[in-house]
Amino acid sequence: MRQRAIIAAALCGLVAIVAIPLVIFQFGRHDPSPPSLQDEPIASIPGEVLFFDEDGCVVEVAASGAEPRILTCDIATSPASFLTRIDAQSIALAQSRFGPGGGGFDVTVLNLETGEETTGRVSITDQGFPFGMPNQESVHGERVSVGQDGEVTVLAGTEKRVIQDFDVAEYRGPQFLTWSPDGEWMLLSYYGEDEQELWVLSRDGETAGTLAKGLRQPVVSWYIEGLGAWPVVEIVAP
Amino acid sequence: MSDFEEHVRRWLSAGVLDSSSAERIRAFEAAQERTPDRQSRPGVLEVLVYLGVIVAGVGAVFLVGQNWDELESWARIAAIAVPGALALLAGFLLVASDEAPLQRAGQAVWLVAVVLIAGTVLVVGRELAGDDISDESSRNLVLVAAMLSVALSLALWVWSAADLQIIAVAGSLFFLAQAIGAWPDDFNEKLAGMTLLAVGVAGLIPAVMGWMEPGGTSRALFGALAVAGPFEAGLDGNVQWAELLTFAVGAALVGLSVLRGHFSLTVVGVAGIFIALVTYVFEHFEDDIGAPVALMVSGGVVVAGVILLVQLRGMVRTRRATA
Repeated sequence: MRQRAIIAAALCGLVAIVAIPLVIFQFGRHDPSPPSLQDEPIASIPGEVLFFDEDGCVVEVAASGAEPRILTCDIATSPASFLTRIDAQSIALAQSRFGPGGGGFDVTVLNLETGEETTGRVSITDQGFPFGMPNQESVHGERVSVGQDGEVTVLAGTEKRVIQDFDVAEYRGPQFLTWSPDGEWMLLSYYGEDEQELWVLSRDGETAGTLAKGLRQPVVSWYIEGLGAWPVVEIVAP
Repeated sequence: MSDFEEHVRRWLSAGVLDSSSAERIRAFEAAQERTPDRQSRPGVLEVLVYLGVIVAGVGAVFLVGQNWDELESWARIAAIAVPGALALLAGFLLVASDEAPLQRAGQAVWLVAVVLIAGTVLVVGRELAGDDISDESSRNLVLVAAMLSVALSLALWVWSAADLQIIAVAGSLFFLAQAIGAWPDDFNEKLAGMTLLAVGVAGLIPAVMGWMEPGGTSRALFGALAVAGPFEAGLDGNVQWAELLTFAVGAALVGLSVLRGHFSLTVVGVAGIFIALVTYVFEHFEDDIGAPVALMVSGGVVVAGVILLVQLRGMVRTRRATA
């Protein structure tokens, strides 16, 4: 039995030699997230971004990377199909609804200053974003394709250029959400180990940052004063 | 009536055996029936009992599985931890028995206990973390379960060096190599394969030197782990050195078997080379030569493998007889 105990100890030792450095040095594991914009803000990124946090509250954060600000947690229509800023004072969020009368949205327009809510069912016209499909084309006529391996490609007509290759695990590439209203930046969502993250990437791919963590769903809106909100959603009364 | 009794009667009636010799043969065979060697082989009834227990066990697993979603956390843990602990305890009681069939039952129960206790670690971790357990935490958990199963199976083998315990050790080490390969963000075949090779060689050395019991099973299983390692490392088709290493390890096993007179290593080595060669032919030459020719080449490899095996068996026997 003593000889067997020695052999067993030797095998356990070998296992430890393989496994312990693996865990200590985190072999093969890494965080592909770009630097936090809250820690290192980039002043040149314009506008504000709206998103839903883990609790379903509507949160606004400066795209340059300031501390997020909760706008409201009292939302009747959640989870929402879209979220947008109408103007400096009000936001709108909606839930898609399919019924005998055809498709539509239950929309809540919330005045942030007065707290007044207007709800109703309205038709929506937009530039390709009524049912969760983001408007892929920027004001410069550029489109984005994100590969499952994290490669971000910008397509302009027949021209195609790879602007960034995020070092993510296979099949865990980020998802394109929207262009900024000025077409110089884009928002991506990435499902990290524990939570969904919001990444900002410049049009040339040279600047990237993590804007927020803990998104409830990949529904966002980017607002720049004077240029409006993207994705573009136009609410029209029935 | 025993087989030998029929022969004894025939020889007595033919006059080629006298009655006193016949009695001595009967006494000798009766004594053989009681030897530990004869008891070490399970009878048909014992095998049927095992079969019944396995069938009942599978039924219990399905029953729990069907109702898994409805169970509370504590019930899920208890459903696997209680049988695991009982199996471990029952194994100790059975292995301590003087009866060979009960000892074998104890060894089988311990094999099941290793699986259940590794499963318990996974279930406890998952229940503690909740539904939102991250992918990273899941992989940590699998590694912990694999390490624990290796430690437990080795401890049980130290206590009772039986075939089933060495099977549990080899199975746990295979599980551990896969857990280590799965630990990075992307499954790393090279890491899993090289871990398999390392633990296979580490177990093969004492097995070949005769320090590990039971020798035949140990040599076959650790040899299989050693050759499976580089094979797995080369599975994605772009790791040429790993594919070539599989042939080298297979050849080393064959050489070792001739040198030491262990035929089980010949079988493992030749099987490893055969599987690696067929895989290699299909991965690298199928596009050029087409599937039919690749199949013909593979068939030729099988025939060559059998011829080689027969030749090597003769060499091993000669070597063993000389020794």
